[in-house]
Amino acid sequence: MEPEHQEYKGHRIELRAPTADTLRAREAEPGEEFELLIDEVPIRYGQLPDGSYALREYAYDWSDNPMDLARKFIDYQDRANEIRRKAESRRED
Amino acid sequence: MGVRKNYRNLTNVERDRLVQALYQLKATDLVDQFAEIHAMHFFHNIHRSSHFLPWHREMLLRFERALQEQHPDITIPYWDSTVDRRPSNPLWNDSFLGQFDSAWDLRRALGSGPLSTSRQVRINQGRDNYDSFWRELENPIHNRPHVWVGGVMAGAASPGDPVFYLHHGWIDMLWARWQLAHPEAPFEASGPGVGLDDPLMEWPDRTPADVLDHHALGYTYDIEEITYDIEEITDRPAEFGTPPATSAPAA
Repeated sequence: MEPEHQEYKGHRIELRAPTADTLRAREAEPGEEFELLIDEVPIRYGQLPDGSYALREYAYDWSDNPMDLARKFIDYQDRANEIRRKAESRRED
Repeated sequence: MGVRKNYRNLTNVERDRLVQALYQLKATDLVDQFAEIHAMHFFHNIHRSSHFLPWHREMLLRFERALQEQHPDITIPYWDSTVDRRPSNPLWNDSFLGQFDSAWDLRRALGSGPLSTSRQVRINQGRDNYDSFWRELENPIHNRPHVWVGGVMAGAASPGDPVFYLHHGWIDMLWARWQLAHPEAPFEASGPGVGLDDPLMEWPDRTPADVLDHHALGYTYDIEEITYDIEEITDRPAEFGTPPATSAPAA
């Protein structure tokens, strides 16, 4: 794995080497060598026994690539927010 | 012996009893403690390993015993997500699990992903060895409902949503049913440290060997041949209506 960044649906995804402050602040999960950020917000992740990665906040959709996982998470958040928005407007009607 | 049953077969009394016990366990911080235990071990062999099924069986058993301290007749019901596939299903009624969404700030988004089908479950039930069985049962069959519910249920601390226990009750039922249909299939370790006699994370005095026989743990499922007593039959619920057929067992 190498540090990298990309734009996806208007979001910036970044995989970067952790700073000394970050290393002090948290205990890394297995496989969490790099810091994953979406729009500068750290996203915790880890590696499962078979080598695939999962996010702590979105833990049941796995991938062998944390960047791919970040894209899946963005897609999920879009879907979930749309569902919540529709449910909210139904309640208001 | 306690009978774990489809949530649709709960009487109103049983449903309300479970809801009240869940609130009690939340108030004593036990719901959050179980969620923390699950999150802490998420990447440490409780998923994607041969300990996936035994670890969650042990966890459910411990949570069920905590519920039974609130009322001794409580058993964890199950949600068959190949049958109950809609946000309009009674599982999500405000009288049942629907109320917890706002009460516990679960941020659910029902329908956030696909669910598996009864055909996929039937095929999985036909696998003739433990290794191929648990891998497919975990992903996609087990994973999808976590994403479908969304919010807390989609994260590593998913036991913070009480539907976790009904979902894993179903997964445990599918394992029990597969075990009954394949009594000769041995437990197979997926790697070092996750064998039949290796300790389970968090509960090192327990191993998969301790939980293989769910009857020995004191419970059975309503899909097994059981005799209901007359009191249970006359206390049938009206609100949830006739339960739909659950996924058919493998021939």
